[in-house]
Amino acid sequence: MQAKTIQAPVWKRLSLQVWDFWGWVTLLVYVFLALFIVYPLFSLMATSFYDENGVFSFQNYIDFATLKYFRNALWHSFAVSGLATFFAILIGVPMAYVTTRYNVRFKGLMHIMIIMSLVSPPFIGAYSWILMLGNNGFITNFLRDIGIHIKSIYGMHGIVFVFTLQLYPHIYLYVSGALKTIDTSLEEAAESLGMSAWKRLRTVTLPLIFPTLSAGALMVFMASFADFGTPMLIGQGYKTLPILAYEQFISEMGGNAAMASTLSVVLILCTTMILFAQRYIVSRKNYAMSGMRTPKVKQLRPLPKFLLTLGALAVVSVSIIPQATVIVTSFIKKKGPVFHKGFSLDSYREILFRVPKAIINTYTYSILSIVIMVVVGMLVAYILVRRKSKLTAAMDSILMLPYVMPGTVLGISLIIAFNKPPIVLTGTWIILVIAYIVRKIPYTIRSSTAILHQLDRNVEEASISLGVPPAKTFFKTTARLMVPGVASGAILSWVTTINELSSTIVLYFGATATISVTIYSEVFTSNYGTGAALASILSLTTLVSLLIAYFVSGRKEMNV
Amino acid sequence: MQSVTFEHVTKYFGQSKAVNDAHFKIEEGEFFTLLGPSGCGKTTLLRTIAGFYKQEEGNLYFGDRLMNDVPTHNRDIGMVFQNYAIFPHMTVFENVAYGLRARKVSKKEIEERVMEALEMVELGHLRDRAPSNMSGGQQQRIALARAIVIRPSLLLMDEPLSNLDAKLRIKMRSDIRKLQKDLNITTIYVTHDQEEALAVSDRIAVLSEGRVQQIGLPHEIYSYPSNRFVANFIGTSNFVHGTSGQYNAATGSAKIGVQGMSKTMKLTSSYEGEVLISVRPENIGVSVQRGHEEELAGEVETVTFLGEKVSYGIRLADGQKLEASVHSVEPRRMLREKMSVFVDLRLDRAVIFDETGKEAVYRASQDDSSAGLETA
Repeated sequence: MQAKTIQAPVWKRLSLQVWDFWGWVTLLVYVFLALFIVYPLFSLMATSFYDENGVFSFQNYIDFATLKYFRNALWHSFAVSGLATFFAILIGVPMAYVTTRYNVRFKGLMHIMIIMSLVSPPFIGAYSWILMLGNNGFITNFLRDIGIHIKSIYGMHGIVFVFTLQLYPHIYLYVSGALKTIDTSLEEAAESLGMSAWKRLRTVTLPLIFPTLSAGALMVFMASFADFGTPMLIGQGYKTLPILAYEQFISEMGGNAAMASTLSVVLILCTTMILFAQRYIVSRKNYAMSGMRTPKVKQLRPLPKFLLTLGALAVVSVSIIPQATVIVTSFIKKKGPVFHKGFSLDSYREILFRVPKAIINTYTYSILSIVIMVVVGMLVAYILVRRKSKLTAAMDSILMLPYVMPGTVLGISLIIAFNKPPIVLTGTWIILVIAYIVRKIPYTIRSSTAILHQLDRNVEEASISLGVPPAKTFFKTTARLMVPGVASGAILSWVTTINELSSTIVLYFGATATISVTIYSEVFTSNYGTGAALASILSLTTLVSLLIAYFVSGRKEMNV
Repeated sequence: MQSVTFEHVTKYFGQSKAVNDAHFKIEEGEFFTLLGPSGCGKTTLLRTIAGFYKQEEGNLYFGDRLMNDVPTHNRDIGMVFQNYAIFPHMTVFENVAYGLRARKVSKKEIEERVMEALEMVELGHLRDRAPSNMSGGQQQRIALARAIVIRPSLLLMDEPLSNLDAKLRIKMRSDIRKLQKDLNITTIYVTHDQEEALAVSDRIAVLSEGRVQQIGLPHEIYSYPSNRFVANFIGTSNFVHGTSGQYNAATGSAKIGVQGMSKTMKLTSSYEGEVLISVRPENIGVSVQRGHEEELAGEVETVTFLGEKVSYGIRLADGQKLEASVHSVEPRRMLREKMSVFVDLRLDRAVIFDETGKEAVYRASQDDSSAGLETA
C-alpha cells in the first residue's frame, strides 16, 4: 500500500488553530532576524556592488584584488590572527595541563584571574601596554633612564603580544575542561604499552583533546581577526581589515561606503571560511569518550611543585598586569593630561564632570539590552529545543551569523540598512541596543538551550494538562527552572555588552557615546588619566558581575 | 467521567505510522489499559488523547464532543507521568494546588480539596515539604494527588509505576485501582508490564507496531489471545506446529493433527493447511505413563524448581521443544532430566492460529470454559 500524504495541507497547517503562543514567538523572532541581521547583510552586499556614481560594478572587488593597500590589510589580519592563535595555544595548553594534572597551588585564584583577563575590555590590554611600553610608557622611560633602549610596543609584534595575552584564556578554559573529562584509561593503556610520558601526551592525550582545542583556537582566531580596538591603538601604521573597513566608512574626506562594504564582505567570507574549516576538521576527528574514569591529579615533590606554581603564576600575572596598570593609573595625580607624583581622585572627578553621559549611556543601554536578551534568549532557546523543525533549524543558522560578523562589519551593515527610509535608526540609541542584542545574545541562547536540554519536558506538560495554557506554563514553570542556567550565559552577554567597542564606534554619535568609545577617544587625545578612570569603572563592573554570577549560580566552574 | 471514542485515528512520525487506524471506544468510568512492548504506539496514543500530539487522520471524541482541535489545557484531563514531573520549585501543597489555582477555585476550597487529595494518597503530613528530596513513591503520589484533585473527566497515566521498585509497584497499583473505583474517573493507563495490566484493568488493549491487536477483559486476553503476538506477549506460550485438514462445512469442524496424533475440532473459519497451536505451559499435562491416545511422547530436558511450581523443558519426538509447568508437586514426585514422558496438549483449551499466526481458527469459547467451571 502506498503511503498517504503525511503532512496536512498547507492551508490547514497555517490556519489560526496552530498559531499558539510559540507560533507567534517564532514569527516575531523571524521578523527581528530578517530586519536586523538578514536585511543589513543584504544591504551590505548590495552596496559593495555599486561604485561611487551608483552604477552596478565589480570595481570595488577589482580594487581590492589589485591594490596592494587592501591586500596587505588582508595579509596583516591573517598574520596577526594566525600568530596570536599559535602563541595562545603555546601558552594555553601547558597552563591547562599544569593546573588540571598537577597539584600546583593557587588554582582558584589563577582561574579567576585568567577569566578576568579574558573579559576585560578588549582594547584595555592594548591601552595599558601603551602606558607601560609605549613611546612614553613608564617601563620604556625607566629603561631609557638607565640607558637601555627597547623597541616600543607599537606595530605588529605589539598586536600579537596583546592578543596572545588576552586570548589564551579561551584555549586554557576549553582545554582544561577537556583534560578534566578525558577517559584516563586510554592514557593508562598507552602507558602500559610502554610509551614514555612525552610520547603519550603527543600520541594519545593531544589527539583526544584536539576537537576541543580547535574550538578554543577558533575563538582566538575569530576574536583577533575581528578585533578593532587593539590594532587601532597599537598598530599605528600596521592596518588590519577591520580598521580599513572602519576608515573607509568614516573618513574625514567623506567615507566610501561601497568600499567599506566590500571590505566587510571580504571579512565575513574569511571568518565563514575559517568557521567551516574548523567544523570540517573536527567532524572528521571527533571521538566519543565515556570518561568514566577521569584523570587523577598528580602529586609533585616540593621543588617541581614550587617551580610549576611559579611559572603558572608568572603567566597569569603578566596577563593581569593591564588591569592593574589601568587601575593604578586612574588614581595618579595629574595636571591636565600630565601625570605628577602622588595619588588623587582627579581623574574620577574629571570624568564625572566631563563625560557623565557616557557612563549613564553605557549602563542604560546595557541594562535595556540584557533584559531583552534574557527574555528573548529564553524564548528562542525554547523554540530551538522544544519546537524542533526545519523552521527553527534555519533560525539557528541565522543566529550563527553574528559569530562571523566582526563588530565593525555589523555596525557598518546596520548603518547602510537604516540610514534611509523606510526605517531610519542611525544616530539613535536604538541602533546601539539592536547591535548589542544581535552580537551578544548568542551567549544567552547557548546557555539557555543547555539548561533546557536538562529540564524534564514532562514538567511543562504536567502544567499544561492541569489546565494552564502553554504561554503561561512557560512563565510559571519552565522559565523559572531555567534561570540558574541562563544566568551563566547572560552574565557573559552583559559583561561583553558593557565593554563593547567595535560596533559602537561605528554606530554612536556625540550624545550616544558610551564608556568604551570615550576611553578610545581619551586615549587618542592622550588623556590617559581619564581613560584609565573610565576603564577602571568598566573593570570593576565586570569583576563584580562575575563574582555575583559565581556565587549566584553556585557553580565551582565558570564556563566561558 | 467521560467516554473516549477513536474513529480511525492514525498518527504519523515521518513516514511510519506510530498509531495505525485506532478505532474503538473507552466507556465511562472504565479502567482501560494500553499494553504493549516499547515502540508499539501506546504512549503516542495516550499523548494524542492528551492533545500533546495531533493525529493526522481520524477523529477523537470525549463523549459526543469532537476533540481534534481542542488544545491540551482545555481538555480537562489529569495526567501522571513515568518520571513524576513534579514542579521542583514548589512545595507539595503548591504542586497539588496548581491545577485548582489555574481554575480560579477559592482559597478556602483549594485548602480543603488539596488536603483531601493528599490524605487519599497518605501524604497529608508532608504538605509543606519540598518534593525534590522525597522518594520516587512519594513523588508519584504527589503527582497522582495533583492529577485527581482537579476532578478531571479523564485520568491519563503513562507508565506511572515503572520507575518504582517491585514491592512498591505492587502496593501502588492496587492503591491506584482502588482510588480509581472510589472516584469513578475514566482512566487510561499505559504500561509495558503485562502482569500490571492484568492486575489493574477493566479492559486491556494490546498494541503492536501501532496497531490494536486485541481488546478484551484481562482473562479473555490471557486465555483467548486473538493472534500469535498477543499469545506470545501475554504470559508464556508454547507454539506447536500442526496441520488442519478434512474441513467439514456441515459441522464446521476439521481434523487437527500434531505428530501423528489427530483430533476433530470445531473451527471458527474454514481453514485447511499448516496451523500454529498456542498452549499455555500450565495447560500441558505431563505423565510418565500414557493416559490416552492424544498424548505425545517426549523426553524431559530441563527441570527448574520455582517454589510454587516446577517448570519442565520437554523435547518432543520430532524435536520441537515445550515448556510445561506443574503446580507445587512434592519434591520426590518431581520428574528428572532424561526421563521419557507423555505430554497432553489439551487442544480444547489451546488456541489454534492459521499458518501466519495472525488469525485464530480455533479458540475455546468463554461459554465453554464457564460451563466447565460449573461442572467441575
